[in-house]
Amino acid sequence: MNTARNQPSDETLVVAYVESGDEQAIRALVERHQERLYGYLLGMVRDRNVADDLFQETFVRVLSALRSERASYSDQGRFLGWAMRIARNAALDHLRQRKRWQDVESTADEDGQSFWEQLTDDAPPADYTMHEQDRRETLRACIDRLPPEQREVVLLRHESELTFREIAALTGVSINTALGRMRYALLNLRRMMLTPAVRAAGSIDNTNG
Amino acid sequence: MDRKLQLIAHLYDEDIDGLEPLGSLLDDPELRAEYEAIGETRFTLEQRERVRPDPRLVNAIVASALRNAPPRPATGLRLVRTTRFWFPVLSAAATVLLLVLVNPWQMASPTIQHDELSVAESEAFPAAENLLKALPPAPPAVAGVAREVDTDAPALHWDTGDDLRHLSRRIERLGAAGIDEWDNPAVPLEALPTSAGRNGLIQTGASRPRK
Repeated sequence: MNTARNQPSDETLVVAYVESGDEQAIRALVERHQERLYGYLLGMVRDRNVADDLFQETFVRVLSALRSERASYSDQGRFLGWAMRIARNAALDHLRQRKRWQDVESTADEDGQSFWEQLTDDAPPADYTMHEQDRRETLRACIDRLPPEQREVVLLRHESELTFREIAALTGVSINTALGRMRYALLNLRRMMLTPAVRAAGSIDNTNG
Repeated sequence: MDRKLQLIAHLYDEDIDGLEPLGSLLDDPELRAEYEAIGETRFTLEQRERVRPDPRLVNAIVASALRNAPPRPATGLRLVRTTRFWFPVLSAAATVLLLVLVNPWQMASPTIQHDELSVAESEAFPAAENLLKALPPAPPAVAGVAREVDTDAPALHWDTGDDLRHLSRRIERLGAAGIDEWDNPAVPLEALPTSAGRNGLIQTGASRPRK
């Protein structure tokens, strides 16, 4: 992913670092993608200290792989997608250690739908407005309360700026599943943000978060 | 693909084959209401401030990368950068040096004494007398003329062998051109071709040939 026409591509920076140990190249690469990677990690683990460790660990793995297995990198395509895979594995390893991630879907009812996939029509009207600051703070809290798979797709789309096709490939699901998770995430977020009872009580039993 | 999922694809400009046009989807009131709702939430998500790590963390990552990086050879980007820096400097220095070497007298003092200049000129240009010695001997006709000259007569300062040499050469050229046939009748001017391609002169008042 290139930011401007005159900016060197990710692959150019990788080559400059691997073959010449170019300091400016590796710094440009890290700074170019720091928000995408760090925003995802912080959203997943919701702890800044942990996010810092995972961010550093991610790049240690990335750079080690580049130096030792550059051929595999070139086969894996875009740098960001490849680095995100490493970041995701680091985040999931952390969450599994703390039993905060389930590799299976949330418990479904008889209709095959979980709580988060049952949308009730008790939300305020669409013209209901919130103060912008309250909206942002509430939004952050609501994102934290989403089920892991819905929270992750929101983070991958809005923090890491991946396409749904890339999200599907990264998370190992179909594109329909990725789009469906996003749909439910958006609708649940809106419901939580606009439903005072839900927002205040924190009644959602989200043991995965 | 489910029509509600197509709303998500349209909302995020996802390039997926087979999507229905958005306008067609929004003709359905239920889909329109959902599209407006999720659009508002998406807008709120887009307004979030991006988070980034502490700059010291980035510096630590870069430092670690450099510690484990391969050694930088004298080629590639480093050589390019070195060349780009030194090439103009060396080019300028070479230019100055070249100017100094090619034009040394331009770097000397502009004040030159007249007698020094005369000496310089005399040394720069060989004496004319030496050039005469290098000339070929005069042809017999000229030499004969030269012998008829009263050698006992005092040598006039303008009567130098140089003039005889020049005259000898001219005589040779004229002889080659057939000038010894002076007694042949001259070619009338009218017979000479003109620039217009017509023979002879065009008398004044005559009409010009039409092109």
